[in-house]
Amino acid sequence: MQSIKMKNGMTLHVIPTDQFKTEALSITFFQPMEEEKNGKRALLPYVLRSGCQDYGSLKGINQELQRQYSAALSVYVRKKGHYQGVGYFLTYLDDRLAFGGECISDACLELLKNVLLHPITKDGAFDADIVAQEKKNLKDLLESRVNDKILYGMDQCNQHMCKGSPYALSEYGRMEDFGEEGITGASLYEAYQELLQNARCELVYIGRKDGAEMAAKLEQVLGEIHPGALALDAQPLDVSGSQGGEVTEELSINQCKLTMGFTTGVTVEDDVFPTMMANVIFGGGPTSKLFMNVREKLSLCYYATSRYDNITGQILVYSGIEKKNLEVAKAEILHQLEELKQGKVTDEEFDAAKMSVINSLRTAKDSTAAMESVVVSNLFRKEPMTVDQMIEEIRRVTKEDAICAAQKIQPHTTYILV
Amino acid sequence: MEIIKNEKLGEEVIRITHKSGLEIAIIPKKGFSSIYAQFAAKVGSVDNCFKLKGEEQFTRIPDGIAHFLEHKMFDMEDGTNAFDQYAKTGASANAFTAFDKTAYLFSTTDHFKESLEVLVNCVTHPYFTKESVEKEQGIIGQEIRMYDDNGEWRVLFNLLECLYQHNPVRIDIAGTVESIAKIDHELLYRCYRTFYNLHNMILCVVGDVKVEDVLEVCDKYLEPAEPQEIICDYGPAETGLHSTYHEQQLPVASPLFQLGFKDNYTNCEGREFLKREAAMGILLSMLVGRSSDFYEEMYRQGLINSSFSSEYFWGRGFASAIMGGESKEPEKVQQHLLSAIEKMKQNPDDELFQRCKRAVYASTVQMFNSVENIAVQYVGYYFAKADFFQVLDVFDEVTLDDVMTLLDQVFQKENMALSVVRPVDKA
Repeated sequence: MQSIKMKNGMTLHVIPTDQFKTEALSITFFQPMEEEKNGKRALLPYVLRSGCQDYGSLKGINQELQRQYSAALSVYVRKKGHYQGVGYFLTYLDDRLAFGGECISDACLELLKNVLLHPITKDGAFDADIVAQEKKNLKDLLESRVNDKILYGMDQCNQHMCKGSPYALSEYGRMEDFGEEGITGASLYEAYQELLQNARCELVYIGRKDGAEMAAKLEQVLGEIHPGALALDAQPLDVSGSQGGEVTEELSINQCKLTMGFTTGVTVEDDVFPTMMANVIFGGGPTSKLFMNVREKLSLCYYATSRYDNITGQILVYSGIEKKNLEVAKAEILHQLEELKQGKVTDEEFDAAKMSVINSLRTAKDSTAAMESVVVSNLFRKEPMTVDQMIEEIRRVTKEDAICAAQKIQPHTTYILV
Repeated sequence: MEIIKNEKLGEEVIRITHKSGLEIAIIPKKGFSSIYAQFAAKVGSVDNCFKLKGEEQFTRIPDGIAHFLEHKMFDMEDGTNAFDQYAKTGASANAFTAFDKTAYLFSTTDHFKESLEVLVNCVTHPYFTKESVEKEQGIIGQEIRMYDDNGEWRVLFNLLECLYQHNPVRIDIAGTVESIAKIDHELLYRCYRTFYNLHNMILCVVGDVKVEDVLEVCDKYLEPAEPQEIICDYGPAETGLHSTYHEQQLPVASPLFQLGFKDNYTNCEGREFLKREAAMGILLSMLVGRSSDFYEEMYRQGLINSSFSSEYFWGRGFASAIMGGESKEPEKVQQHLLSAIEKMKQNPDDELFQRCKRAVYASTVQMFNSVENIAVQYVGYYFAKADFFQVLDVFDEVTLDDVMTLLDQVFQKENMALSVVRPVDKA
């Protein structure tokens, strides 16, 4: 992997490969999360994607993408620690597979530039119809997080756990941002200019072309943008504004959703690998303590998983449980954590966990989206790290290291949907 | 052994009929870190009534049995579980039951041969007991309830119930808590012996592998299977729809909908089927794809959003064109769609057709980026007596006329149903 600093202040990270029938390019603008501003920044890439001077409406943009052999330009709105990242993920067919030798890549970069830099505006404001339409879509998206009960439970748990801090904010903003009194074409335009000037911009390219050549092309195409230089840190989750404890919310659902939030205080700024291993042993897959006990032994559920966020240090355990079994399930989850802390981990459990992590990391190399995601997460490290280096670090972790790291897993908030 | 190459794509498949009767397909992918293997049986939730050639009576089996069998396949006779063995080889394993197939799979980046041994051994050595069946009823019961809460799942199944009067595709794959209570270990063995005959299965491996490794494992574990013929009864012939509309309330934030057009021409197989499927993909792209007039108008009016998608939903004995997503007013979307269909019938658009053909071609090519996608597609087409490696060739043959004919055949009001899941009435 190569990281090339471009003349305009952006950085291009290159993963050279000839494995795929497609190439991928992502562009992300990072800014610290702010309650008043998240909504505008999230709305921005959707609005830009829906209208452009060169192609007209959304249909025009989609037709051009289609003409370029079903190239895809998806919006990214991401939460990484206490930062919000907005941008695009562009994929297109390798030039060699075009019917008549067309240069798909050049056409796609041109389209990306046009979408970013030639929005439809009037008198210093974005087109009112487009803004209204996309506001409505984002409002619906926020509301639809409620549809997915598993995700909703996790969001609610997180909000309670990090109350009062930027970590509790949604990367999509607040419901009121998308109401009538919320974002306007003019306020959005201000946020647009602020983004282009102040946000930190990172690009990831995965494909056959030479990195320097790609950087030169991008300098030409995106040279007008001069982004900011803010630092990206991975400070652990701020739970100082929350008392933790247990919260229950009533909805009329068939199966209760249980989410338990834990802190570890360990992020990619430290040696994160023992904690990663501790989490996998605890609840990260079919060899984990949660799967083997809460699901297999006690037949309480179809899934009981724990997820570790290596930028905030947070662990979330989530499970779907029959109401009458809630107390038993909670107790068993905490009991399994205790078992882990007390070092009751067999060599088989440990080896299985290690192999499964290494397998996941290796598998990531076969997916452009997964590789892009690894590169972006690794931006928060003090030193860059490749997937192969991460695999080496995991190999070094011993059972004792993982058990030691487990001591820092502290329960904080339990959120129950009934 | 035969090797079929696609030069333009730079891909090939090695096909072997093993001496045991099992069909094997190996698709080499040099440079890929993962290897994906799928061992699949041609049995799914639609196969609920069968007899063997020579038998008098058909046997009707409880709904959800194929899925139940899939769950239990991981139990080993020594009391361990196949997952324990995969844990030692480091493979990531899973299984799924679809309408017309059951698949056992793993993906791994190391110890491939050992993982393949676990897969082949586990699927050819079933072990079911009274206790293990009872235990699973609890787990599957929870799985069913998880899906009962899932708006996206329910809106689709409610649509299938509308479109199909008798076809078993309308039955939930996992069955119901009541139907699975009727399953016992003897019934599981009977189903296994019928449907998991090697002549009814395929092993597909995709990745940077050695053919010899695959054959050695098959030679070690596979006993020759007697050729057999399974006759399935999928119910009386359809004479129309069951209903044209269904609505359910669930705690969703925004109404979800799925609109479907039943395709009554389900007799095609092989290359003919590939061509029909390609034409349908292009037609859907023209009619309701992201760059269509319909999509733009509906999006602009706020009647759909980017969750809207369409697909040709097909399997053994059934096919429908379905589309949907979130919408505050699904009936209006339906009305606009009917107008769009009429308009297209009056105005065949060649430029639109050519553009959509390019796009659908490219989406198909992109399947080859993923070892998993290649295997899933290959197995799916194999069971439809079609060849995945021919999929790209048929694009050349599809004409605007083919697409317009399909539009006339399938997109008729009498084939159409709408399913909606609405938020719970707070009143």
